[in-house]
Amino acid sequence: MLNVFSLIFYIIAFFLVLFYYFKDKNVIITLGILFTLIGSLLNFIFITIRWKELGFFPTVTFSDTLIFLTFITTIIFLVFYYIYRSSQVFIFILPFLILLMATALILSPTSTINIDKGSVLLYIHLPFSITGTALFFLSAFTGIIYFYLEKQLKNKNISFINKQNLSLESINNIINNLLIYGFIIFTIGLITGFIWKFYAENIEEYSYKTKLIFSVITWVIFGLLILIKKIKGLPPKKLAMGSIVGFVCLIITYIGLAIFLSGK
Amino acid sequence: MEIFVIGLNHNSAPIEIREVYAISKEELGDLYNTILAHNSIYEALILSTCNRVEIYYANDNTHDDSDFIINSLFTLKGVTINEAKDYFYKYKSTEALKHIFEVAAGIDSMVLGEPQIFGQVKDAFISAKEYNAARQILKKLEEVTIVCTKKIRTYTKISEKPLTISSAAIDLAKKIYGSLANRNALIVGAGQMCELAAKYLKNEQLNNIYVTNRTYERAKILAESIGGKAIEFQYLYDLLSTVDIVISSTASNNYILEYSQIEKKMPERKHRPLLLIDIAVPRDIDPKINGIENVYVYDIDDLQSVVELNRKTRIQEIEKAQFYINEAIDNYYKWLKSLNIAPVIVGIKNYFEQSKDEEIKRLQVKLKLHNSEDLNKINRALEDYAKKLLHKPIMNIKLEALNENKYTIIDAVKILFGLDYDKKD
Repeated sequence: MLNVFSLIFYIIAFFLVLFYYFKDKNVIITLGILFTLIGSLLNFIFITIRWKELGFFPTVTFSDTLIFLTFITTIIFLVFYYIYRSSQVFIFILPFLILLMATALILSPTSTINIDKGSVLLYIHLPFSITGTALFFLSAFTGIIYFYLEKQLKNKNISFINKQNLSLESINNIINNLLIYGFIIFTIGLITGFIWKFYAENIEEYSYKTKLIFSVITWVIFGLLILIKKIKGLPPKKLAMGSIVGFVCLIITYIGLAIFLSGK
Repeated sequence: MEIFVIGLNHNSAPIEIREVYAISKEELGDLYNTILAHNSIYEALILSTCNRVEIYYANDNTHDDSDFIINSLFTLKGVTINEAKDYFYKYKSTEALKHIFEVAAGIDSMVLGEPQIFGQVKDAFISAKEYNAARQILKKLEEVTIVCTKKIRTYTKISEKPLTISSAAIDLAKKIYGSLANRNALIVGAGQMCELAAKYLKNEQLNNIYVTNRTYERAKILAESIGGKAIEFQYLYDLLSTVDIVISSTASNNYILEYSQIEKKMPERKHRPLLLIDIAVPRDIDPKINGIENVYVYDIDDLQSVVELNRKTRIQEIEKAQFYINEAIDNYYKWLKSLNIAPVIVGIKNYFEQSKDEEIKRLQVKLKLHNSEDLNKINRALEDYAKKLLHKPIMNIKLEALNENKYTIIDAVKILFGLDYDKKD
């Protein structure tokens, strides 16, 4: 029920932001932010209740993972909104949050896998991997916004440019920061997952190896992107493209993982 | 007491008339002295800018002093143009207040919403106070004008978007780079448009502003005026690898920047974004350059569209601003009307005080009172009694003075003392 309400709040927030874009009244955007905040607060309450129910951090089912992903993405996004104050980005991000929540609701939240409840490392591995993924997702998403805004500037869409309050340079900085923080957090998730495997029992070797290979591929892609940017320097457009490509790879690895595991 | 304004501005008078009657700082004292020497005028404010000459004054509302004000101005300037009188506009009361609030907010300006006029209005009030021409009435008007203008600036977008080609270009650069601090700009040309653009760029605290021109001396003069660096025209292409913004306005008949040149420069720039602003006619920059990745070319027509859109946005904001103007008129007018009742209240209190003193003297003789303590007690008792007696009527006078209603004497007494005859029936 909490998740249904959360989804409703995100949907209302989306329409409010859409309305703000045409009406340009500050009270509307404030309401939009408030509804987004309430949506994420409901996610937080759900995660807490579920944690208590299960006895371990609820990120082991796909549904739970998506809810945590929605929650963490919203929080990171709200922090960035607070810094850069761009309401336009809300229009783009909210449909994704709605999609994530809707998918989480469709999937069964009750199924669990057999895990070692006592493992502290697992509690670090799962949230960190998901938070890292959320940051990569936001960097790819910001990359799409970069391309969109850049196209408006190229095509001289004056009415759009006039309303734009986030510069291309700021977007480039956001992508860069999201990639760096995402990479650090994802790396912690990857290392703790790797160590956890040494101590965990009853984990299928095949499933683990597949997971490991795909996670390492993702890690290498983003690592290379950051390294090239640091050493050679990347033009903003290429960085935006890199973040999108990286995230697409991440999605492919997840889908690939699902196919491999279902094949097994 | 009433507020009036008489003046001429860019809408009412041509420049030939405005320039004749513009008032310099040196002339302010003489004009203030002449105006304030007039019997019925209590306070005055002179606002003289490049687009307007206005004289605000407070008088006792028994005379039309507008001819006197205009004649004083004619005498001061030593020029009497008979038809010039027709160019003057006159506003009284709430219309005069509406006018000053609109002037201060830039609504009455030639460039709608321009912020400089607010500073000029504030300076005019300061001058008026220096000449002791703005006292109670106009000091309060200054206070209300400042609050009203600040509200309009904060809560509406009337001054937000740029309305000049050069400022629109700067605004556009910010859409790409965010802050322009630590960026480099190049100005190609040294004409009027370039001068204006250079001034706007200077305010943005860029790292370097380079100026280049076919005549190097002219580039040097412009560069020195803004603290920039003059560059020989032949080095223009070398600079393209380091600058972020190029603003070009030359009289050249051919393109100064061509597609192939920029295409070659981009790898050197490591494909960092480059904004090229072309405000020349005929154009200086090949429009095809806009097709190169990370290069953005905007010409004068593009910027004109930005300016036009901004102008429309500002016009839409006037409606919002009117709300704050009406609020300010209401506040000020209430205050002004409350001043009219002050002498009445003082008169009533004096009358009671006088009656009380007479009554004490009468009692002193009749009762043969010599003890000062007893006299003080009686004095205090009568004072308290008078206060209680006057409290309700004074409160009601203050309340009713703000209404325009006209009452019969019987209704006025009922209202003053809060008497309700209907209940008695």
